[in-house]
Parts: sequence; C-alpha cells; structure tokens
Amino acid sequence: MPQEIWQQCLELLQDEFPSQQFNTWLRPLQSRDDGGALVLLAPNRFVRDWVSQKYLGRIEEVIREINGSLNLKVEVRVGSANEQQARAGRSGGNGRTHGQSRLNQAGTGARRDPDTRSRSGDPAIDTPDGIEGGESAPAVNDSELNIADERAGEELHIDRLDRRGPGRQQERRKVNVEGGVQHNETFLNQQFTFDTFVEGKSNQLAKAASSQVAENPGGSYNPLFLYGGVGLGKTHLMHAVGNEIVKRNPGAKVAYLRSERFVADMVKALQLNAINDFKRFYRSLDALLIDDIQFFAGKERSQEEFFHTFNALLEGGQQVILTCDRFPKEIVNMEERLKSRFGWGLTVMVEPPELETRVAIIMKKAEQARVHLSNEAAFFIAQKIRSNVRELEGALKLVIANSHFTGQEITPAFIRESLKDLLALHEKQVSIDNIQRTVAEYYKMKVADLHSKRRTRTITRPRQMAMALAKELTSHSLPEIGDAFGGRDHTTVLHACKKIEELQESDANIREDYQNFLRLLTT
Amino acid sequence: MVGPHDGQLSLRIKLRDEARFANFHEGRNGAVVTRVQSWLAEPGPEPMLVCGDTGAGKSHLLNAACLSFEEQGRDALYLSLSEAAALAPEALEGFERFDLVCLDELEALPATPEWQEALLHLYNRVLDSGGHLLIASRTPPGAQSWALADLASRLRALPVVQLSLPRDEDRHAMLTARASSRGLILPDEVAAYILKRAPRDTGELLGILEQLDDASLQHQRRLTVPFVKHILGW
Repeated sequence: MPQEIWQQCLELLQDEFPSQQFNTWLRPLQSRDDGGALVLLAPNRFVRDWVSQKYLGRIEEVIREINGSLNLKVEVRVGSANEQQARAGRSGGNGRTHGQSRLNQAGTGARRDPDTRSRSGDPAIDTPDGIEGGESAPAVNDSELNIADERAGEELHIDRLDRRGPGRQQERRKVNVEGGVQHNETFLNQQFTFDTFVEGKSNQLAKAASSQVAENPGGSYNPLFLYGGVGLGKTHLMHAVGNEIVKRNPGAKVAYLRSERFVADMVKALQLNAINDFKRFYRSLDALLIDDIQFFAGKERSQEEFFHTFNALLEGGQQVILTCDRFPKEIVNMEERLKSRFGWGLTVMVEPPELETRVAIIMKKAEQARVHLSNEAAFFIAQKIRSNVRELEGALKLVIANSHFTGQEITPAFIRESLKDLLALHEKQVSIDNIQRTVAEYYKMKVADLHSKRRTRTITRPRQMAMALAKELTSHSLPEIGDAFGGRDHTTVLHACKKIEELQESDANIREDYQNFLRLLTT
Repeated sequence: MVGPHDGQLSLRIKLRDEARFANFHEGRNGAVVTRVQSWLAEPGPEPMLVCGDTGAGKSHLLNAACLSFEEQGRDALYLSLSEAAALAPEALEGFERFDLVCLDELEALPATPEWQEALLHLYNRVLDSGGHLLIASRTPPGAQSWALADLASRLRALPVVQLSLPRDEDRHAMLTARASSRGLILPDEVAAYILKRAPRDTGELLGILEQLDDASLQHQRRLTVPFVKHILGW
C-alpha cells in the first residue's frame, strides 16, 4: 500500500517539478514498505539529506492529499530495495561465509530485469560519516559480502548470500570491466589476454615479466609491480596474467579488483564487524590483482589491512600483482614499509608506445572490430594521437562509429574530419615553442640557451632532447625544426634524434627524462 | 488591466511537458539523437559523452534518456555536476545501482583531486555494474585541464557526439511545439515576437514559456503579443 501511494505521489510531483529536479531527487528514490511506513531509499547520505530538507515536506503534503486518513509515516534513508531481497535470501538460511566463496565467480550483482523492479548486489548501507579520514564507505556493490545494514532499529544485520543459490544463478549476467568489454561472472576481463596484447619496445619487458608470472605464479617475481602513465596497458597485462593462471589451473582462486574496491570492502567489513571474514577471504586467494594502488594513498587503515594481507599472501607463496601510476618510492601518503615491500619482487615500467607499436595497436583493434583499415589510415591516427593507448583506441572507435553512421570509407581525410576537435587540441598543445619551454623549465635553463650557439654539454643535451621531442611530437620538417633552434641545419636535428635514441638505451636518466617529457607534453 | 502577478491561483491542470525524445526538436541534431538512442539500447556499453554549447539541448537529451529508461521499468538518475558541486565528492557514491546515470555539466566538476577521484570511481563502478553512463559537457574533455590523469584519459577516450545549437527556425519550431504539448496555442507572430526579444538559451526560453503558461491559466487569456508584452514586461 505505501508503495502504491508513492507511485501516485510521484505522478503528481512530476507535474510540479521540472524534469531535471524530478529526475535528480525524486524519481531515483526507491520505496519500501516498512511495517506500514513508507521508506524512501536514497543512494547516499547527501541525497538523503537534500531530499529530507527540500522535498520531504512536500512529499508528505501530497501523500496527505492522496489519502489523509492513512496517516502514513514517511522516512528517507540511505539504502536500496535490495535490502528486501537480502532479507529474503537470509530467511532461506543459506549463510555461506565470505571466506568460503570464490571471488573469481563474483559479479557486482545482476542488473535488474526491466520487468522486475528489483536488483541484487546494490549498496544497502546507511553509511556513517566516514570511518577515518578520507576513508568513508563508498556504497559499492559487494556480492560476496552482501550486507543489509538496517539502521532504522539501531540493529545490524549481516547477510551473506549463497552465490550458488538458484535465485542468484538466474541473476548472473555479463558485466563490464575496463575497456567496456563484457565478461562472464568474473572480475577478470576475458578479452584482456596475452594474445590480444600488442607488444612493442615500450612494453616488451612488462609483457615478458607478466608471462613469467602467469607460468609460475608465486615464484620469484612476487609481487609483480607494473607502473607507468595512464592508459598504457597495465590493466590489460594484469588481466592477462589472471586469465592465464585460471586457464592453466581452472581451480585457481584469482581476484582482480581496483584499490577503491578493496577499501570499500574493508570499510564495510569494519562497519559490520566482519573484518575476520574479510581477512580470511583475501588471504585464501591464489592470486590477488590490485589495480591503481595509488588510490590507497592517505587511507591509513586500508594500508594497514592491505599490508597484512600482502604479507600473508607473500608468505603463503600466493601471487600478488599491483599496478600503479608511478614508481613505488614516488607514491605520496603511502607507508614506507609498504613502498619497500612493493619492490621485493619485480618492478617493471610500461612506457608510452612508440609509433610502430601504435600503428600495430590500431591495426589489431580495427581487426577485432572487423573494420578494414588501410596502413595509411592507421599510420595517420598513430601519428596524431601519441598520448596513450586508451586515447588511441578512443580515437579509433570514434572514427569507426562515424564511418558506420555516415557509411563513408575511412581515409585520412575522413579521419581528419572525424577527429578534428581532438587533433586541434593535440596540435595546439604540442608546438616547438611549447617543447622548448617545457625542456628549458625541466632542466632549469633559459629558452634562449636552446637557440644559442653554445655547445657545452649542459646545454647541448637538453637542446638535443628538445629536437628529438619536436621530431616525435610535431609534424614539422627537419629543416623547420633546425630553424626553430637558432637556424641549425637539418643534419644537426637528425644527429640529435639519433643521439637521444642511443642515450635512451644506455642511460636510465635520459630514458626517464624522455618519458617524462612525453607525458608532460601529451597529457 | 491585469498585473503580471494578479489573478487567481493556477490549479495543477497544466499538461505535462517533460523532456522526452519525442519533443526534442532535432533540427541539425537528428543523427546525434539516433546515436544516443541506439547507445541506450546497447547492453552495458562504454560511457558516452554529449558535447554542445549552452542551449544546444544537452540537458533535454539526458532527461529524455532518463525518462525512456523509466518507461521501460529501469532505474535512472540525472545529476547536474554544478548542483552536486555544492555538496561533497561523496555525493557521487551509490549511483551504480541505477541502470542509467546521466551526469550533466561536466565542466562544473570541481578541479580538485577529491572530486575527480570520486568521478573516476563512479565511472569505474558504473562500468563494472554493466550500467549506462551518459555525460554531457559544454567543452570536450581534451579542452579542459584535469587534476587526475586517470580520469582525463578515460574522458578523452570516450565516444563523443556533438550537438549543434538550434538555428532561429529550429527555435521557432521548438517553441511552438512545446507550447502545443502544454495545450497552449502560440500563434506564429507571437512566437516570432518572443524569439526576437528572449535570451537565445533554450532553457531560458522554456522558462519563459512556463511563465506564460502559468499567466495564461491564471488570467484565462490566450497568448497575444500585448499579453506577452505585459506579462514579460517587455
């Protein structure tokens, strides 16, 4: 009855409020009958507070207009309709524990069938204002620790659903992980394998190390720490290792998750006094893959918990793979003991792909999308989009979508038109001037020194670096680049490029500087 | 003579005029609308970005998408980031329970690491849960500066559709059609009179229509140039 009244109330409120307000604050509320009272469920405490302050009065008025004699009590809480499902599951008595579950079977919960207004795996926690600094509990789905927190009666219920129960089986579905590719019932993206990974000079070492780990998990490369700029394939490699481990040993318990998810699970477990289940679960894995661990920064309690999990796994000979956007020592607000342990196994950098690899990536992606792409077209895109693989793929997808919608063939002219906004930004961003300013600032010198005739090493090396970058990142001809550096000959530019290429092989500092410049200038 | 605020109170008998695909005046944007609709029909697609100047119809499109999901019995949420910015980054939590999350005014996302991390996590969680994430922005993400490279690279790699601003004839047709869906008769000469004087922003134009609708109900008057002139104080 309260829910029917809520539907009628919504109908009336829809006439009163503009679409935007209605779709933001009112329509998204889920309703629940709680012993004759109407409970409106908001996705988080901010929405709850806003609705309570701005709309609850009007909601109550409208409900009185609909049926004043009912004297219906209305309350706004944080949670989701899933709580009811969770309770129904609990009454079935199938209390399988967290530690007994296979995480690599865990989905984030089935998206609701349009015909049934119910959803599993939804956040069902009325989150307090944060457990500790910066470590509030994101109301994320957690199908393993499917918990309904019923704060109305100041009572805490813990619910763990049996994922193998018939109801859950029906709700299983495909979910997405990074890259938008679908996979079945596991957090591992099955399309991220070694076969689909395009190898080049920039990622050769990382791929070789990952293959080794997949063949011999828990061996000498433990932990495997992959780091590098965004969108370069670290996540792909991580999934590839997980998939390969499961392929070789289908019984292996492998879990891939983002660090944010680890934090959310831990916070939820702490709130619900289920931290032992949490520990047991994570420590029972054969391989734990945690993505983007830089987001552990500043989250002390999570770092502490992760530290113990990490140690337990390493001591047990279980594999740990971590990705990060920077070298362990450079992570800020991370405990020193963790940073030091990250370096115990193998630390490998994934670098931005060079032109040939970018072309190969585009050709492979086009092939996967069953789109014919000429070498010329692939080369054109690869030359224009240099920042990272994710943006390269994004550009290709945009071109393919435009071609699909307009029915036009993919030619360099068509690509230029499709990507005109993107290219304008890239071209505007990377000019010789910009390169010179960036290099001068980096090496703490004047731009005029790069133009000057001086040939001391402290000036020559940065000048060579800037020339090499200008060749890599702009479409200017060699004579034009020479001109921009105090009227030098094109052979000087060629020599500079060759020198920087050689130095990258032999000098780690130059290699790092070059990669830093690529990152600075293209992102 | 009636004053702008005189007259009886209007009853709630106005016809509903919520944003939907059917009343989105396509003009030059027909292909964009088709692309958004076909994206909405895909199961768990990559997020999509709608770009366009103020008044191009981004908010309308996002709200129409929400309504289309609701009509299929699926949960949807619309949130303007300019509105959310008054709250805290945690205001973006818990949205993965919706089948469709529409985030408007990306350009209003505060440029702090906390907010950008919150959006990154929302992005990931919606993707993980197989939901649809539709984002609208006045400028392409590549033209904005970002505090978080992880978020920037994801946004820059999104498929983008570009909404063009309506031309004068589009605005005329849209105003007349939206008036008609409210049960208002808006003669051409009155529409032309309004368009010559009103702000060019579609949202403000529709606000004027709302005001005229209320006034017309209160005073039981048809929309004529003198009446409009009087009500709007032009």
